[in-house]
This record gives sequence, structure tokens and C-alpha cells, in this order.
Amino acid sequence: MFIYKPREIFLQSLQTLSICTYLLVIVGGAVLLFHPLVLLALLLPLVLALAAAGGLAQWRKSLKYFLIMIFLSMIINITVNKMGATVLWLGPVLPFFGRFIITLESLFFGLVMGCRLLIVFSAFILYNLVLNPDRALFAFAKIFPRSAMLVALTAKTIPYLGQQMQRAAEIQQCRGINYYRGNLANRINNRLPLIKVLFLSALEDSFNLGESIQARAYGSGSRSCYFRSSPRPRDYFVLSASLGAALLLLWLLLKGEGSFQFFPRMRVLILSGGQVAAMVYICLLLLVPVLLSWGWSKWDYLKWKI
Amino acid sequence: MVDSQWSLYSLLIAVAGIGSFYLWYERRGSSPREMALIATLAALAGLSRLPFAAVPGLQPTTFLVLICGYVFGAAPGFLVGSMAAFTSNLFLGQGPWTPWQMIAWGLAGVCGGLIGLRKEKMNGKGKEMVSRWLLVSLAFLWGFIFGAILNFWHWLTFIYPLTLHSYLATLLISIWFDAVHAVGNALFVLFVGGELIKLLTRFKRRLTVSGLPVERLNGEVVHHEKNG
Amino acid sequence: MGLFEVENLTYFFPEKAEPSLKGVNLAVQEGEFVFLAGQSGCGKSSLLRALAGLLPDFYGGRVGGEIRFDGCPLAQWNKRSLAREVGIIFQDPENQLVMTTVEQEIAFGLENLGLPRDEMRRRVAEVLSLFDLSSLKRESIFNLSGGEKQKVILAAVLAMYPRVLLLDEPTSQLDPVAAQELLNYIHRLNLEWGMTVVLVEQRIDRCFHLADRVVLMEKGSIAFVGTPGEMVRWSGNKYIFFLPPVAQVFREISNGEVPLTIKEGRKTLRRLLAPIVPVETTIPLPPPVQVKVKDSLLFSRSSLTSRVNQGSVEVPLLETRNLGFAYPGKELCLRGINLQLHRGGVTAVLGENGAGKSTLLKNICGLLKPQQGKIYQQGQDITGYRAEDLSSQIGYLSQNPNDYLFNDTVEDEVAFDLKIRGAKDLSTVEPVLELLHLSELRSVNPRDLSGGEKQRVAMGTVLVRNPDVLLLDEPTRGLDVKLKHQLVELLQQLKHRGKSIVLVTHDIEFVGEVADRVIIMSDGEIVMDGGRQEVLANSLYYAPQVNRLFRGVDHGVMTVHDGVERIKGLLGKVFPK
Repeated sequence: MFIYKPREIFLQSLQTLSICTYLLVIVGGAVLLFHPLVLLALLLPLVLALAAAGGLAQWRKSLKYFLIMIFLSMIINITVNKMGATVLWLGPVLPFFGRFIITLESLFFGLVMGCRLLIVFSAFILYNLVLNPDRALFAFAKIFPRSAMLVALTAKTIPYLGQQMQRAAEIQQCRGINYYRGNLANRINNRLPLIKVLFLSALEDSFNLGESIQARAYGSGSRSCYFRSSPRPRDYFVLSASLGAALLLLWLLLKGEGSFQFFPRMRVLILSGGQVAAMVYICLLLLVPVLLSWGWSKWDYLKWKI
Repeated sequence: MVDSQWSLYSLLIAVAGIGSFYLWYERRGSSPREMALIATLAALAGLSRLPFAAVPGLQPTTFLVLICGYVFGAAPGFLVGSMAAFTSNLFLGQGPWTPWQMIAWGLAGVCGGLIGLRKEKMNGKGKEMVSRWLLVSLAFLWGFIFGAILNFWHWLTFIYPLTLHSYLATLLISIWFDAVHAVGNALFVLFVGGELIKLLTRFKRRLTVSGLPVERLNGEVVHHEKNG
Repeated sequence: MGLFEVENLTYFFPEKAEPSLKGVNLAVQEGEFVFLAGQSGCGKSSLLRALAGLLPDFYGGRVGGEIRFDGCPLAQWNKRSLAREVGIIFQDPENQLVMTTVEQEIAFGLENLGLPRDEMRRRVAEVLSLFDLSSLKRESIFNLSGGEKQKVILAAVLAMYPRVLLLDEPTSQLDPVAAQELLNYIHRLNLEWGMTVVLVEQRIDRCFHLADRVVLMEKGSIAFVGTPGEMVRWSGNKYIFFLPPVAQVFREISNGEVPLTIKEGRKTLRRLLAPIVPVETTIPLPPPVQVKVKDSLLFSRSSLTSRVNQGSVEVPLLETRNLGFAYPGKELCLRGINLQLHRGGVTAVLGENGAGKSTLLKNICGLLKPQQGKIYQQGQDITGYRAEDLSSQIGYLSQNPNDYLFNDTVEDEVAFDLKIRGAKDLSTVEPVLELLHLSELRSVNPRDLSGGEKQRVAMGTVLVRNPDVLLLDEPTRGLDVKLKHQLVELLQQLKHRGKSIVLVTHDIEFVGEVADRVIIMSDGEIVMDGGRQEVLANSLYYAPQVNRLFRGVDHGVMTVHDGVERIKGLLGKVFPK
């Protein structure tokens, strides 16, 4: 499970905006630019940031699951892509997809795609680790107050209903219902009492919940906001570094040096010195939160100063 | 040369779609009573995503959202579906799939709402039966539509070239899960659907009557006879 | 002029032919503590909601008459100002909590009032200190106990600085310790801040003496308004249940001022009995307990041998031997439980929260699988059997009847337990309905019933399977005094039919009325097991009120009935007639 747990971590102390911008730059870069070296420049800081957030163990655990997905999409890419020139294997003719061909280019393309997928998934793992959903909700509540309230209500109801379901399931079991007996249809049918009990109780409770929030003046006019956290120097550092990286990525994109030609034959990897420099700077800028995090845990001075 | 822009555009469209729906909801307003009901229904649908001990591989979420839309209408259906996706991901993990799940389940709710509307317009004896079987077949279909929507962004972003062939190949990966999903949905509607619709309709009624304007008794003392 | 003035208030819920409130007239003064009593379903909750403006605002329906708050009719009050002035707290904390952390929860109401941020911060800090919640400030609501949750809600409502506090059975879901803490806070708010309080509560013995005035409602109307003392004199036999036990004992004897608390009661007792028996001035420490069951294995053996000696080698209905249980990844929370249950007995299991009482019941009925030891049913090893397979022999009744009810009628609900077993013969449903006084409600939807009736239906689903052993978890939670009395009678009847009943409870008064045998558990072990007299009369904490009243006079007194008889007996000696 990915549930956010508050810990003493630098990355968790950042504002919602800073974290989101940082991750958006990484994901956006991975989705828009398609150059193996750019992807490496994004992946490296991301993995280090995951380490700084103490999420490497979690990352490795989910990686097993993601690798299957990455592997599958690589297979698709290799299968459907027939544009490569360097044929490695000429396979049999498949009924719908035509001849099965593996080319060097599509193989490499599949690998790079897998790397891209890895970046997107890893970025979201980091997101779930460091972004406090409550704080994100408060940021959201400024534009969508009612929807944010709805999210808060739903989120607090889910675990409560989970307990209730557990209880009701036990009771129906005590009455003699066996959830495990019979075929699929039987099993679904045996759940009917549980589903009905849960719905009846939950809906009755929803009436009381509505009453309670009305009694506490909800809906009596415009609301004010209790939580407001003002940005600290660390947020400015992370924000400007992320924006800098974003500008460099944009520059690469506009210059046409952000992508790499695979088909029909792969072109040279490096087009200009400016391209290499931009990639190095992107990597360094995205490392800023990691470095700050490291310094923050090392020196108390930095802890107070930023 | 790889035309990645589609991935970004699609994501922007999805987010803008969800955003504009919620903006509309913000403007429309709703009573605390309605909000608590929507939140509870969304929580029930979201909860049913979390692993079920007794029937592995089955998720009644789509079915529940479809039924909620059917009883309460298209807009509440979208709310329940998208809210269920978003909040359950607070427990299961947000990802690039979140907006697509919000859309898929939201639309399942809308779809239920449309059948409900159609049923109200119909008259005659067969209307219960027709809408019932319509629901069953739609629930079955939604197993696959759900897969198609969720694979869409994956296809746009991570597959090249973007052809019908490659899209179908992407769908093939999850075809087994989608089939279980579809069969499960249909069975849920068949076995649980009728009872659940009855139950929700009862609550909808309760919600409606409590929202009616309050009647005054003209200040008269009410004499009430027990057996009169 | 009263703070609240209720004038001829009549209210019908939508689509109901019976009014919930009938011509209610009441005035509540500023700073007053009003205790609103009555049987469940008498309209006291409705009146409370009407005072908060939720009836008819939230529920709809038809209304007659008027409520004025601070001289102005409620309907004319601005919603926000009214919500600020009048705070209301309901039964179940789960349905009142909105946010995920304590701090957010308290701020929620303040945000709704649109207060500036600095003001909110001040108020949140204040109520956190007042209710000793500061250490839980950032705690997730989900990790709090029921008592803490209700305290958070009280704090959240109080942060809005209300003038009136309305409370609808705020302690009904809490254990006695948490309930007492909450009531203490409410009493303090009234005493030290002059907060106007209207309290609906089933724990009459805990709040009767706190009230300035008692209001008794019956079938939607007000039956009585007056001071607690006046209420005692007025009550007669019909309303005796609405008095605290101490007052019930003395009401018949004393014709002057009737004591309401144990302290006053002992004083009165001393005065009355001074000529005959010396009553110790303070509650004396209980005489040293002969711990019979420190080594519980020993006890079960000795009791076994004594039975053998008597010549009746009765196989116990249910027996656990050295039972041990742990939740996954945790230490054992039940250890070495040896328990024998025989036909026709009521066994009460007492103990603090987390002592393992409910876990024990769940182990016996098959919901949990013990890691150690064995369970025998009439000599047959049933360890590890699943709950659904044991459900015909062992009936488990949980504390929340709502977890049972989903059928359209009471009759179907009870018959469901037979149908699920494939039984064609439903003739046993009828006697069960009759036994539980449910015959007239047979075609009512069980969800529309009152709490006590729902519990009887849940009980019906258990009894219809005709199990030999009945396990009841907190059966008195949320029941009013009259319903408790009905439950006592029912359990006596079941006992005489040869059932063995085990009940887990915090309700010591109830145990004093109904149990033959009392077990005290602590930290997963049985620390005391014996007859009712032996265990309760020797206890400081687990003694019923009336027993505490008579401590030093007669340890054997457990119930009001015992008490009245004892006093009459003693006085009879002094004034023989």
C-alpha cells in the first residue's frame, strides 16, 4: 500500500506546489522528450530523490510489478513496429499482425520506452511518498472548495466502512453464510446480505453525517481556511531549480535536439556540445532537492536556515 | 520524430474534462445531506476496490457506480465514480492512471444515469425487464470499455507507431482481466442489482421528502386519534 | 424570559401519520442544566434536534407551534449565527467526524463560520488545552478510541463558543470510564462557565443529580418538568425506572428529602440504621479477596473433581482448555483460558478495554482461530471449526444489531437463518417472535424499528437456530432502563430453558441483576472466577451501586430489590408492627 506516512523527511516538508512542479517537470520531460540520454538525466535524480525519501525499498518492491508492465509494452513495441532496417529475426506470419519481425532498432526503441515508463511510475511512487494528501487538498480547496470537502468526507469514510464491512461480514458468517462455497455465481449471491447490510447502514449513517456537518455550520456561507503554510527558502530553491530544468528541456525540444531518431536506422546519439551541456545541467538542477535533503539531515544549521 | 505530443494533449483533455465537470459542480451547489450521500456512495464504491478476501480478482466498483448513476442520475453518477477512483487511490497509490480511472468510472455512472432516464421515459409492462437486461449487458460491456479507456494513455505514450494494430495489441495484454471484470459486472447486476436498486431508490425517496418545503400546521393544536 | 422558549411544538416527520412531538411547551433558562429523560422513541431526540434548528430544517416534514431562541423565532435566525450559538452533539462519534486529524476536525466548524485565521488558531489551541488533547493534535482521527473521538467532537463544538450545548446520548457508544470523563467535562462546562446544557442520556445514575431540572418525555409529550427532588416524589411506581438506583431504594422508606448519590445515601442509611447496626463512615476497603483462580487450571480441576465427587459426571456444554490467541504479528492477547460452561447459567465476563473479553467470545464462536489450546463442545473437539459451521450450536450476538438487519420484514429476517440452512420447516420462527414480543411487528421493516427492538430481532436470528450456548457482546449498550429490564427477564427465561449464556459487558448494574457467575479478565487472563456475590461484593471497582450503598451493612445486597427488602427487614426490627 502507498498510504502517505508522515516522517521526518526533508522532501515531505516542501510545499505542495514545489513538489508537484518538481515531479511535473520530470514526468513532462520524460513524456515530451525522447532521447536516451535525457531520460537518463531525469532518471538519475529521481532515483536519488527516492533514496532521499527513504523509498528505495518500496520502489524495489513495486518495481517487480512494474517490470512486468514494462516488459509487456516492450513486447508490443517490438511486435507492432516494423520500421527498423536492421533485421535480427524474421519470424512467422501472425494472423492479424502480419509477419513477426524483430529489428535492432525496435529492440532498442523498446528498451528506451521501458525506461520512460519506469520514470513515470517512479515519479508517482515518489509523489505518494512525499506529498501529504491533506495539504494537497488544502491547496486544491482554494479553487474547488466543495469538491475538496467531498474528497475529505469520502477519504475519511473509506477506512470506517472497511471496519464496518469486516464486522458485518463476521456477523453474516455467524448466521451460517459461507462466502467460499460454490461457484462464482454462488459466491456473488452469498455476498448479497453483506452488501445490503453495508449499504443500509452506510446510507443511514450518511444522513447523520450530513446532519452533523450542517449543525456545525457547513454550508452557511463562505468558508475561511485554517491551514496556510507559507513557502520557505527551500521551496524557492526547489521551485527555481525545477523551472530552470524545465526551461532547458524546452530549449532542447525547440531546438529539435530533445529527440533521437531510431527509424529506419539509429542516428548519432549526440548532436552538439550544447545538447550535452543542457543534459548535464538538467541533471544537476534536478539533483537540487536531493542535495538539500542530504544537507538538511547532516547540518542542523541548514535545517534552520532553509 | 516520435510524435509524443498526443500523450500530452490527451492528458490535458482528460484533466480539463474532469476539471470543468467539477467547476460546474462547484457552481451548482449541493446541500450537506446530498454531499454526505455522495461521499458515502463514493466511499462504498472505492472501498470495493480494495482487495476482497472472499472472491479474488473481482471488483464490484464499476457495477456499484453504474447502479448509483441509474438510481440517482448522470451527474451524481459521475461524481460517485470519479470520487471513488480518486479517493481509493489515496490508499492504493496515485499514478498516471488516476485521471483515466476517474473518467472511466465517471462515465460508467453517466451511462447508468442515461439508462435510468430512458427507463423513466418508457412506459408499459416490459420496462423493468428491458432496463434490467440493458443494465446487465451494459455492465458486461463496461468491463471492456474500462480496459479500453485505461489502456488508451498507455498506448498513446508508450507504444509506437500509433496504429489500430498496436492499440489492439495493447488491449490484448489486459484482455483476461477485462473479461473477468465484464463477467463479474454482469453477474453482480444479475444477482445483486435488483435488490440494490430497490434499496437505493428507498433512500432517494427519503432524501427527496426531507428536501421538500416544510408544511405549517397553521398554529393549531393537532388532535391525534390513534384509531381514527 | 428563557433562553429557549418552546411553545406548543408539534412535529411530523415526512410521510408519517404519527407526530414525533405533540404540543410541547418548555422553557430553558440561561445557565441551566436540563436532563431530558424518557424511553427510547419518546421524542427526546426530536426535541433536541428541534432546539438546534435541524427539525424541520434538515428533515423536512410538518411543523406546528414555535421555538424562540433568545426571544427570536428559530426560523428567523440566520443559519450561521444559530449554528454558532447552539452546539449539538450526537450519539455516534463516527458519524460526526469529518476530517482526518484532530486539529483539522476542531478547525472545521471555525472555517465554516468564516473566522479569520488568527482567531481560529487561538481557539483551537484553547480547546486543545481545555480537553487535554494537545498531545493528540496531529493524530489521525482513525487511531483514536471512541472516548477520545467524542471528546474531539465536544472540543470542536466548543471551539465555536456556543451559548447552549445540546447533547443526544453522547456516551451511548462509550465504555463507562470514557463516559464518566465526558460527563465530567460537560458538568464542568455548566458549573464553571455557566454554559446552558440540555442533556439526553441513558446513564441516569450518572447525570440525574447533576441536573437543575429534569424533563421527562413520553410519547412525544412532556410528562414532567421539575427539580430532581421533585421528580423523585412525583415518579410513583410507573416512572421509578427513571430514578437512580439509590433514589429507588430510599424512595419507599424515606418521606423527607430522598438521597440521589451514594454519599448522601450512606448518610441517610447511617441515620436510619443508627439505632441497630453501626455503619462505617467511609467506604471501607473490601475484605481481602481469597483469590480462587489465580491459577485457573487448578480451579477448573478442583471444580471438576467436586462434580465427580457429587456423582454427576456431567460433560460441560462447552469447555476451553488452556486457550491462547494472538492477532497476526502481535503477542498473545489471550493466555491459558480454562472455562467450563454448563446448562442453565448466566456467566458475565468483566474487565477493562483490551482485556480480551470480546476476543474470547470470537474464539469460542469460531470467528477467530486459537493458536493454543482446545475447545470442546459436549466433549467433542471443535477447535478450528469455522463460525458458519458452529452457528447452529453456538449463537453469537454482537453489540451492533444493524450488522444483522437487511431483510424486508422482521419475520423474513428471523426466518433467513433457517433458510440459509436449507430448512423447509419454518415453524420455529413463530415461538421465537412470541418470546421476544415481536409478533406484532412481524411485517415491519426491521430497519425502521427502535434500537431496543432491533436488538430483539438480532436476538431472534440467533435464537431461531436454537443454539445451546449464547454469547452476547455488550448487550445493554444503548438500551434504556426499561429495555434493560426486559432483557433481564428474557435472559432469565432462556436460562431456565437450559441455555448457557455468556455476556461480555461493562454494565455492572446489569450483571448484578442477571448473572450467576462472574469472571474478571485482565490482560488476556482470567483473574477471578466465581459466584456473583463472591466476585462483586468483594470488589472495589466492579461493585454495583446498591452494593456500595450497603457496604458495611450487608455485602449481599446487589439489586434495588435486595436493598429495599434489606432496609425493610432492618427497620422492621426497630419498629415492629
